[in-house]
Amino acid sequence: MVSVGLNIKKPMPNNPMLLWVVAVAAAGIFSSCTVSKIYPKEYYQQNKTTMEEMETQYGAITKENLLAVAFNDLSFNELSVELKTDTVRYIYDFVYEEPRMYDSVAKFGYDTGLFRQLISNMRRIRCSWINTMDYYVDGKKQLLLFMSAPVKQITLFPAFRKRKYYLFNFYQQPQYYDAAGRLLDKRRLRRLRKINSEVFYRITDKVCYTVSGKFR
Amino acid sequence: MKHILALVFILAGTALYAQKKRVPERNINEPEREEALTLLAAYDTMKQSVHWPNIHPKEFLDNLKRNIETPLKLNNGRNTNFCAFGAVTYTCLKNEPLRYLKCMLELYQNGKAFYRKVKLDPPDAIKQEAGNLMFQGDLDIYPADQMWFLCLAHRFKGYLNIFNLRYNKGDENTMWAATNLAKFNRMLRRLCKYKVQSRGSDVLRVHSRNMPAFLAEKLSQGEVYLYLNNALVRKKNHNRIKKRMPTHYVVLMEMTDTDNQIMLKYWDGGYKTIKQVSLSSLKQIIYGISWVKYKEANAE
Repeated sequence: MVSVGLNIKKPMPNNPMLLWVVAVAAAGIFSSCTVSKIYPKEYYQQNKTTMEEMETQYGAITKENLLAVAFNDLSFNELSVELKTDTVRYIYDFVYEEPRMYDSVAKFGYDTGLFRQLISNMRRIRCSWINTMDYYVDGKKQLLLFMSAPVKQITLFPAFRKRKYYLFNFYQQPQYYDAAGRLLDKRRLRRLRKINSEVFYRITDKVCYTVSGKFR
Repeated sequence: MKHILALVFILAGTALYAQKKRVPERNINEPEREEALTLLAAYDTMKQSVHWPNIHPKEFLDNLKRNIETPLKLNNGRNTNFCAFGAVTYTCLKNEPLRYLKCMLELYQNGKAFYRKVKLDPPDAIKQEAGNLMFQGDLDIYPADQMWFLCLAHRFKGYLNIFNLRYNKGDENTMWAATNLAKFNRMLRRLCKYKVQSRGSDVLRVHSRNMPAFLAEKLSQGEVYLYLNNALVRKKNHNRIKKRMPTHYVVLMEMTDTDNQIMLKYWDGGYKTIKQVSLSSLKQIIYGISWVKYKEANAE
């Protein structure tokens, strides 16, 4: 039996510049895909005052009917406003400070002054979505305030970047968490509560966060 | 001779089949709804089903009553893939609430039931899970809807489901419950016995020279269902590369066209949603249109 061996040497990159480029690109790609758990807490601490102010403003605006605001672009100029009654949801797309936006909001009985302050605050802290979400504990409806903000991501290929968002939940009552700081559904049942299919982590008793690929 | 006889049988069968097709009503079927509510009241003392251990009879009946009284409020959950089943159920509740009710009661009591000729016979995994779905918004507290959607998702399968045919906990959010356009049309045909016509596909958008006029024409004649790219209708991220695929079913209710700004009013899982879109956006978001004609248009 004759074996034929080909004596092929593997081409080794001997150009240090090329190695550097590959290493930097790989680092860029991988670093853009991961988000440290510290950053959402930092974001919250940095913007805590504004977020609490927004919580108050949002609560005052939505006393009668619910409302949700989304910024559709990251220059925070195009926004989508969802005005909700019991059975009807109106979705309007506006450009920031467009007069007809305030007319529409006023038409539905919302406080335009507070609304203006709210979206101004949203732009200031780069909050892309604010909404009220319902959840049930023992069959009883509870509400939480939901905010999200895009993560600052650096990548070499912005066109292919998959955006990440910090999602924050603001509860009216203190919540239960496990030893790992994960939000629980109830104290006795050691079951994790998922909001939008995501597990949330403790910041304070009433505020928790997660990182997700969707802002709502 | 055999061939002629076979041909005659086929033609006769086709004619009979065509005659049996149903047509929806323009408005809610009020007499049947009242009849359904009367029947429902008679089941006031219904006992706990052994087949559905996590569905309490009172909650089940309350859920049915709510669905029959206000079909608009039917909720298909926050993160589930039940939107197609929601759209089909909406037309069932609007047009034949009595049939829906009888099927649901039978399903609860016997663990299996027929909706027309469609047999709903879910496995134990579904029977155990119905009533226990959580973190889905309002669907959490509506066990009858959980039961119904899970049964429909188990019964109807399309090519999107081939890699996940058996229900496991949490599959309401996965491809197990996904629905392609052909499956959606099949559900309408089998459950409601409609003569469904459809344009579009799961991959390519619907092309029409005058989309608003086309939709308006179909709306004037009957019920219209849209298969939409919801990532464009309600943005959920700011990625530059957008997924160009349909993901959501809605029931179109009204449409007005003013200076290329189209106002769509559609039923969308618990809400009647009103949204204004540009003509170009409208063309981008619609991948499928299915429609059924009303009685008046089919009277001849």
